[in-house]
Amino acid sequence: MIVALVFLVTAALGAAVRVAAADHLNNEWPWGTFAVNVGASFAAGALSGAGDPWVTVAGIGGVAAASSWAMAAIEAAALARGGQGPRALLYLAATLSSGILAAWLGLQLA
Amino acid sequence: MQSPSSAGPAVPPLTWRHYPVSMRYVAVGAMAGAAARWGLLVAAGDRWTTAVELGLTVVAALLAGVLVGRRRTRAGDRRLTVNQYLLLGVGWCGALAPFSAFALRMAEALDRGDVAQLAAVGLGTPAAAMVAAGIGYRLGSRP
Repeated sequence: MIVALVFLVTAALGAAVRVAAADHLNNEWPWGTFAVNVGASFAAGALSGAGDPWVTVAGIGGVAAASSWAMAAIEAAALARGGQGPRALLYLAATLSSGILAAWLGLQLA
Repeated sequence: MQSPSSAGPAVPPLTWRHYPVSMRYVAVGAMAGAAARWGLLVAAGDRWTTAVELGLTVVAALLAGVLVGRRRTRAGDRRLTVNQYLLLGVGWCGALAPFSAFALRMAEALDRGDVAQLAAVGLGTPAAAMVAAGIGYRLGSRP
């Protein structure tokens, strides 16, 4: 019961962090979402080895809700629709490569 | 494409400045989205994790596209309000398919040297998400 509650609260906090980052950092480039996605990927890697179930729950809830495929996809789609196809592709490629690299670095630390 | 000014405030993703954000709606949506994802992953079992995550990514991108289209379009009373968008789009869809879970899965594949999974899931997921978001936007922006 308490585990579920912690999970929900961290998920809400994670999403709030994502929105706050987008609110403050997104301009013609979605820097805020990019930063949160890459940061959350690193955290997911770093937390993956933790044996503590609380860390795992907080990781699944908060870290995961902070990052988002849906936001990245609609941002890239918005760039493409605005006639900025190359920028959309670059944004996707940067998010993918940086995110995977960050998760890998996190894994090495774990 | 219609100018954002014809349909109220511009929709995030891209420009959030001065957007009236109520974190309550984001938080409630994210809790529901994260819980739905967790429940599905537990119910499906470890064997189906990758497939479920891919499916959730497609569903989240599709629905987020529909909602962005609904926000942008001049569909009169069928247009989404700001708070509905924050609840369903930013909160629920946003938390349904985390990017970090995908990145971790890919980093693990990288560590194992599993090039096949890295290529298939690593390229297939973004491609599927983009196609889904585009289809969703078209569906959503129909008057």
